[in-house]
Amino acid sequence: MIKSIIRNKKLFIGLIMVLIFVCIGIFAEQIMPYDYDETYVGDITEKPSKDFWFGTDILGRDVFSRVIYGTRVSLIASISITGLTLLFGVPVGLLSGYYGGVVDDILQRVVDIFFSFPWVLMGLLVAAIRGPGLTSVIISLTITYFPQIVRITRSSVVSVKEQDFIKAAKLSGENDLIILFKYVFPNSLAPLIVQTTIIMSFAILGEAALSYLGWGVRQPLSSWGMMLQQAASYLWTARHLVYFPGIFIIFAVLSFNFTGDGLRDILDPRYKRIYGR
Amino acid sequence: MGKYILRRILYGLITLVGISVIIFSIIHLIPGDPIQIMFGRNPNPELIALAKKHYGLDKPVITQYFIWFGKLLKGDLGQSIIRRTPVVELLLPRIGRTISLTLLGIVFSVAIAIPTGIIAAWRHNTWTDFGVSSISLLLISVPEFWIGIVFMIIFSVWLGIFPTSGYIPPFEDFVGWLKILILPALTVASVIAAQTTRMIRANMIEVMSLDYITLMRSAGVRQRRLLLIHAFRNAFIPVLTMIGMQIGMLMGGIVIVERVFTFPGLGALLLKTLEERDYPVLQACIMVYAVAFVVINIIIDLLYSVVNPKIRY
Repeated sequence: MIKSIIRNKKLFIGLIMVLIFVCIGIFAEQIMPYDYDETYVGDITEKPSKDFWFGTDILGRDVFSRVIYGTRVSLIASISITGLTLLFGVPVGLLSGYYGGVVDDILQRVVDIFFSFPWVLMGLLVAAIRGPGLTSVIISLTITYFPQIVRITRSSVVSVKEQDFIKAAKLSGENDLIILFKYVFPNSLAPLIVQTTIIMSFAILGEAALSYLGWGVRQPLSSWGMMLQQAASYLWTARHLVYFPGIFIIFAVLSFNFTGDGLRDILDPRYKRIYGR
Repeated sequence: MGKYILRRILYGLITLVGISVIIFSIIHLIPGDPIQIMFGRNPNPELIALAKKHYGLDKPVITQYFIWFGKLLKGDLGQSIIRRTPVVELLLPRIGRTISLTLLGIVFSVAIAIPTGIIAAWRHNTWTDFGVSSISLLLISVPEFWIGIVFMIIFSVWLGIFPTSGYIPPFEDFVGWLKILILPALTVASVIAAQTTRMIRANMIEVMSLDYITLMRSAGVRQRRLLLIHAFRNAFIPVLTMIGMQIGMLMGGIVIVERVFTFPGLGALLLKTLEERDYPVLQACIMVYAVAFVVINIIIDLLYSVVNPKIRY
């Protein structure tokens, strides 16, 4: 009884949180009381007040405005990363699983290598080659997470391709592409939707972490991770700089984790038993 | 079994050679080289040419790779271009520190995750279970660097118990060393512990509903014995798989934690040499991560058969 309520609640709360996150990102300009890059020289590292709700940072910029703008940066990063992983991962997974054989073997080895590569290293190397920035973050995290999509798509294709309805479609002379997208792909939708929410949360965390290390989003753009990097040097004097970006990161990541957990319970009960996330 | 181990090691070596090629080419794609950084803004072209020749950077990248690989087989990782010390000397102490941090982190996380996971499963569908699930879901949503910073605020700024940074070798002052390691290790542990708790809880709940447990229960085996011995063993196998899958994430997390606490480990060296384009050290650092990754995966595979005697290779 308690369980079923918690289940539905998770999805409900998660979706509302996602909605808030997306709205803040879209309407950032309307919400920000100041420009995210405007410095107020007289008000350096001020504590939260009526004028500056979350205080000001070391350059005298309004922390509230920067956190709000950071929401947009995070939203752009996570949506682009997740979208691109699906764009590359789904076709590779479909082809790999459907045709099998040598193509499958080679693709799986390549995916294995990408899979095994620690994501921080990938982020650092791409940033070093291309120069740090939002685009580099998106590229490196897409490379890091697309193997997950490939694996999930592939395994659901492998599990349905020997079933009778696929054989029937083949016998009736449908071509492979139509079979793949019309009959095989819909069967991998449920786990894919769940994985999409997980990648959204990973992408938010990944962008924040790379920006924290100084190899992600650059000034003058604001990013939660970058704000925390600057805050870390002022633990003794300006702790408000630490709290607010952190709370926003947790909120955004939690929204997708709630949604993912809720969706998984509804769409894919087996997955929950196996992975328990 | 022996044959299987050999095959795993062989595959591992092939993967490593592949990774070394990729790393070598990627590093040489990075614009700017150490010589330019060494000579600063107004370089003398003749000196640069001389220096490049001295370090073998004037040869084609493929030749450079084979020279590097040949030396690697002899155990020679070359010399740091910026620091002028052998790479091995730079790496070894740092590898030791990073391993000690990682192990302590894993010990903490296992010590937290196994009991909480089992208790949550045992008290399934109660408020205890709900509390454990909520806290662990919250914790996997927190970036480790933020946890690290908050730990610093609580334990260093407010309570003043632990230092925020620095390093003391364990042989000089063991307590001091432990004090330095505790916050980074707890930071590493908090995230892994949350994931592992969720996993153990879910697996235990599933395993406890299986027929063999029902049968044993009806045969009069006590609940505690069922949970701790019969169910846990099976519930732990997927946890091993997950740990194997998350080694890459874990290693990335430790790089970040090292930066948060300015801990002089391998990750800190990696970040520093990446900025300096110190090729030999950079390549060696990444190779160490790759080797660690492959070795840990082999060990985890072998652990399967220890945990579950039914699995034979």
